[in-house]
Amino acid sequence: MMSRVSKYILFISFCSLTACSAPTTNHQKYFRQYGTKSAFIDNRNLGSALELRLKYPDQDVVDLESEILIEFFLSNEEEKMGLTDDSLMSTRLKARVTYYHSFVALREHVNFQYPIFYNKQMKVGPISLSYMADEARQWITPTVTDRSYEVDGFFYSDARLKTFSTHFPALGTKVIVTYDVVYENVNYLANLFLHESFPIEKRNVILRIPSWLNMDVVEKNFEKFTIKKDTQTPEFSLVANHRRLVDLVRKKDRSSYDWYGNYPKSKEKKINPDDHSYITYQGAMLQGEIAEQAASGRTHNYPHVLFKVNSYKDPSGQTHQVLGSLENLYSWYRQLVLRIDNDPRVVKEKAQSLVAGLTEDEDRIRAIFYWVQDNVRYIAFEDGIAGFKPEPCQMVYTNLYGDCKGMANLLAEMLKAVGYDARLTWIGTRHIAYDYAEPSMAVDNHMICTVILNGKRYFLDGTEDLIELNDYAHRIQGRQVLIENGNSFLIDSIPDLPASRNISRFKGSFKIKGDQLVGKMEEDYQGESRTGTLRYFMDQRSERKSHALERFLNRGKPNHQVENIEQAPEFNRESQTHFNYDLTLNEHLVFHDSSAWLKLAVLELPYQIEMEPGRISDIDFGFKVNEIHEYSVEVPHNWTLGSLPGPVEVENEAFKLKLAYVYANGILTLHSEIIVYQGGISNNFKREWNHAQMDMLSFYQHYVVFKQKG
Amino acid sequence: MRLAFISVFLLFGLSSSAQNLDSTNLKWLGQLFNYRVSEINGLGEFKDTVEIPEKWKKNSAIILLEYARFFAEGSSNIPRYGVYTQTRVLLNDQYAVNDFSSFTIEPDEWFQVRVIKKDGNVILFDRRRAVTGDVRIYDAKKKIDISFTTEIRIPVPNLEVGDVIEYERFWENISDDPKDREGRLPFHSRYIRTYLHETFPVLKRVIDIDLRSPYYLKWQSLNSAPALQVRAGNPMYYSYRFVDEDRGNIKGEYWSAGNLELPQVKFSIQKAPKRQNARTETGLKAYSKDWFLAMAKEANSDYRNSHSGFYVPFNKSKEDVNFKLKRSIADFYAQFRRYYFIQENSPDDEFANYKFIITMARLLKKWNQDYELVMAVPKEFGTIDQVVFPDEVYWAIRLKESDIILGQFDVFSTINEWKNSVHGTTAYFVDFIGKNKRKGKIYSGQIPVQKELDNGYSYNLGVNLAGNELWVDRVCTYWGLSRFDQMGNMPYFVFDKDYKALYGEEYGMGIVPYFAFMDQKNLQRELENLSDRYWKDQFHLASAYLGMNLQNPYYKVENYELIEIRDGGREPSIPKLIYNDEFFAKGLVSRADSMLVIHIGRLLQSSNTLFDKEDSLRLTGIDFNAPKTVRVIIHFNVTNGYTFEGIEQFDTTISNRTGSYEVHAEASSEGFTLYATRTYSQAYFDKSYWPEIRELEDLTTRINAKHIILIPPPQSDRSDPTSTDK
Repeated sequence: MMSRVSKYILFISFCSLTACSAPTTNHQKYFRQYGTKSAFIDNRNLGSALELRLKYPDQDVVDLESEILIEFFLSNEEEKMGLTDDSLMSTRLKARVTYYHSFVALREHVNFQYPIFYNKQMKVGPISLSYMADEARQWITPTVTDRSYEVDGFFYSDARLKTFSTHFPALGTKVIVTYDVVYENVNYLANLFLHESFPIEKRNVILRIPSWLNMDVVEKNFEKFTIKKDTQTPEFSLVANHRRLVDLVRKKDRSSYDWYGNYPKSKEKKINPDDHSYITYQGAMLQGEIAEQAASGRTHNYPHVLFKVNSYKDPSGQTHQVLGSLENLYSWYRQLVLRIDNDPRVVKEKAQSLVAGLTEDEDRIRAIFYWVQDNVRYIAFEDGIAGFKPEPCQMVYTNLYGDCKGMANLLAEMLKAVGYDARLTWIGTRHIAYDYAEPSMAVDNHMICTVILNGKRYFLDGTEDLIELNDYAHRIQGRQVLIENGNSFLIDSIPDLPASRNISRFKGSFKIKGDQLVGKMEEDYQGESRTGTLRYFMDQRSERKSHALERFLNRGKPNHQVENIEQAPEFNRESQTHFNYDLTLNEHLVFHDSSAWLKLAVLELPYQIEMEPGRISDIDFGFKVNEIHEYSVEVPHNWTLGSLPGPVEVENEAFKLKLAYVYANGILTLHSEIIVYQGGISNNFKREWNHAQMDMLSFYQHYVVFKQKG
Repeated sequence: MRLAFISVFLLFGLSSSAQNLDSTNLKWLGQLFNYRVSEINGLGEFKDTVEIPEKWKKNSAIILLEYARFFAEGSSNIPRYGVYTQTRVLLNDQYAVNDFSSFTIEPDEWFQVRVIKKDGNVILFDRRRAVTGDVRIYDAKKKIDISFTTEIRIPVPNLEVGDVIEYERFWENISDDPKDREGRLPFHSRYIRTYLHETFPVLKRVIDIDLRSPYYLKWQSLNSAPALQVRAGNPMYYSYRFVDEDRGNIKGEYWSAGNLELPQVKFSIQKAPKRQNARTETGLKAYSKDWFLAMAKEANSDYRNSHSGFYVPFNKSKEDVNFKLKRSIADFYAQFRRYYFIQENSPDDEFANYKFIITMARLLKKWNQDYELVMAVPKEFGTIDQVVFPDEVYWAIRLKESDIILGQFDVFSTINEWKNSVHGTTAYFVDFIGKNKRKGKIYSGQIPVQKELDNGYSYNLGVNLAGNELWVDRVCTYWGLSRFDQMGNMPYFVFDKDYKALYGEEYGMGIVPYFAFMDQKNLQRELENLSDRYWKDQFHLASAYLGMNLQNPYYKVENYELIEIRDGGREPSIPKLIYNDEFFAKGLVSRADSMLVIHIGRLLQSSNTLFDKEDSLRLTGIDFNAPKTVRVIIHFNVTNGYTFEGIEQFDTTISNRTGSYEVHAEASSEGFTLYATRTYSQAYFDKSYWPEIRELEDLTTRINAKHIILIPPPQSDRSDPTSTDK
């Protein structure tokens, strides 16, 4: 009888044969390379894996111990200034970021896809993977998928994604992954986050800063996390240790390496290692980043370091400025702007025709602003420097498509063509937590146009469809702007408009007919709630618009019957969007014995999001919510009030929530209101918000009780 | 973004985004087409400005012309084949402008787009703005690409409401690929099936086909689509033209039977083999009965595609004194299913069924069993008399003098089942009897129609109050075709009752290299642990999927837990998926003073559908997929002295030609029980039945909205019924 083990061997042979016809997985590759000597599963890992599994029940793997080492070095190439757009930013100063992960599987049979995002400014070095890190020879280079990465909202971007699959055959399997990324231009290394998509038990981020480099490191969002900072030379480095082992295998002279285990070909070899300073950040128990509902931008919530590289000295002792100051950042922007190659003659005629007959300045500006909004489609190309340099106005005008920079530039040139002082303006939207106090490549992600007229500044965002003049989307409100001003610049801020601008008002008057509420509804939308509504209808096919309107008003509820819809004859970005319609409601009224129980919340207040205990991100609703609902019903004369749900009223700096029934003169009225003053709820208000949510749910759970006479 | 072409003609291998297109990539944009354009015959006659009918003028866009020309020619050694299309669309609103704002094409296509302005000016696209996207899989150590795919994206310039956009695509291949000599063309257009209705009205659709010997066409117009016409032209070609006009756009409908009813055309371009055989049919019509017979005979001896390695061990089983045919077939089925879908890991293989059938036929021959090969066609492809391409045929096998049918082979299926879409259709049966099972005899027959009890599901719920929520524990049973829907929501390993025994061992074997240093005793123990843990993992995943799928607009499901899968529904004797689970349902309890309103109707699992006004007008019939029965039983426990009211309002009975809905409520000492049954008497109804279906759906919606009231005991006896531990 064939022993079990020999059966296994046969099976292994079979696997090897079948593997020939199927794509080779990385663990199969490993197995082929190193044979059966490898013991992938170390029972010592099993116990800790089981514990970790309890800690991270929804995760497949955890990074047990990891390190990111950041180094800076000078290339041999001479600095070339001003030859091409790309070279405007060129610098000999480069950065190498080396990642070292020790993954442990928390499940059986895990196929883990490791992602590396990069772009043209970054070079991803060879990726090494090992199931047996102690054996330095047993490293393999995995099969990698390298693809263009679609960035939301971009028709084309130079963003790319490398992925490779790592197979963990069983709970407790440990896999080491290491690779480095070289930033060809140090300016593109703007920040570095401690969290990743997988949980990390222990992570060190080591910055190795040469003495010839002048840089600042700004810590962001550290206060919410336990992250230790140390400025001593680290005693041990996983990356250094790994390099040393690799070098040993290569039979290199061990003595030629410093503590750090630099590659022998490194340009830094001759530099005294003592000429470095170190900053080490130690993070522990960093949970994997998850997509939280209505989350604000990552830079607002997750701990990270922001790099401000100011200058460096080359080996000859000459000091070179890098993008460490706002002046330098603007200077670079300015050089790009000077190379746009606009031909304003192409757009002049159109601009003049748009303002023909208009005498008021605001009307003239408005005409051009609205034309760009309505006619230029947003199609964005982001390719290296093209992510920062606007397209010539004539290109955007001819194509009728462009990105934010192209639209801003077209607006500026059209407005200039009819005599206005219009300027390109850089801005970072609310998604980004930085301002110009910390200038870097990460501070701006958007461009608009500023018109300066009689001392007033009009900020025009061509990408905001259906927004009126002097109105601003929440995403740019309150944000600093950098306005071009020849060789200097102006700093200003977009007005932060109050929540009252966004009122959406719902009003309904009903009568009781049988077990139904029958009445009339009115809905008004202003500000951002109006633009949102208008855009919804703009995105509908013409022949489906009436159907879409019906669906919009009945909110997809079978118990809402909508009829006789009246709306403003033409949707208009400058007036309220208004709907009147008849509404019949089922399921709001219950009769029991001589009682009638009534719920009058035709529409419950939306934005019912609980902030779970482990939530990291603040809530961001995307605009300053302001909804007022007022519903009334005529109560039959023979009904007397039994009981009303108690009112809810909460108001603090972050939000206002009010729900109250009033019964007077035979009319029952429900007034409900929610205002989120800054468009979001910070984690600091988590307790208040969650309490208010519970109170709101309880309020909606209760009926108003009436007694019927006779 | 448009993936332009006649919508269902082509499947593009899509990759993601892009890098700049350099000048070397621009070749495709110009050279290829220049010398071919003169060959596009007849298009000029459709160039005229067309009058738009009043009824379409308010549409988002109108397709003025959708033209396609397919051709195949060339010697048998170097065939040349391709397709040219031209589409012209009037854009009436911003939606249409955005929809046609960019195109994605393949790198070896010729493409041109023109924007025709209202004043007659024509704008061509800027070729420099085309960008490529790519996906590259490479072995960094060997420095070789394993695969590399690209796509090209083109932004359309100067597009405004009121413009006409006209785009052309041309793709051809001149190949000496040996595959081309096998009679199956490896290019997109070898088999086309397209519906004539689109998202936008189509004023005119023209399909020209020009073929030279040895290429030939097989064509069918279905569901009242116009017929194909022979076209006069170059005498060297067989030329055909299809013209269709004035097709309205379609809208989404609940249970739309559009795929069964809407006019469609389908055709294949075939190449006659050098040597004529019984399967060589060069006529324009669909394949004949003789062709099916030849196909069946070929399949019956298609040992090349059968799985010899798997078949051999079973071949010997007849020698076993305990051989029982039904049991052996069931064993073979289960093990081949496991081998094919788990070991070979090919759950989406469209040819799995065929491969299973021919392997099974081979085995039955060895077992000396008489059998029939069955060839059917899924309903949406038309009838058995309308087949134009071999891959339209669906294969099954039926044993003579036995009730065993092997009609479906996929991850979740078992024996004695037909594929859903062939129920009630006419099929060809070819029997293979006698000693050598080679002489087939063909006849046509009907595949049985299903009944409402053949498929369905039932939920048996125990419901308790827990605070302001309901605690629900359920036993869920799915049978017939309905079980596939639910099984598809879970990892397929989890259903196999004997999975642990069968696959657990293999799983252990698969990872034995990782334990190479362990002694035999420890190894065995470790493998058992692994298998156990793996099973639990799969179960955990299944639980997560099921919990997610229970979410609905009326109540929130929390703390969902799958307790046990009692049966995976893949055993031939009991093809039922049975499991039990539990969860909290939040949002179904309201309060009126001390009374509780329980919105229990929401747990009855019937219609949650919202019908708008436009749903009263139906364009197509109703396709329920299969006749079925849905049963829900709710046992509600009322505790702590509370009494209840309102169960009588659930009592209802209604039936019509489309099915029935019946709810019955009963009080018991523990509380009350609701019994609800909804039946769907047929899979398909024409649209005249819609009012009757609405009658049932509206009633279920009303019953869903009903509640019961829990009344507290007199003050002195009262304790909160919501104080349950759960």
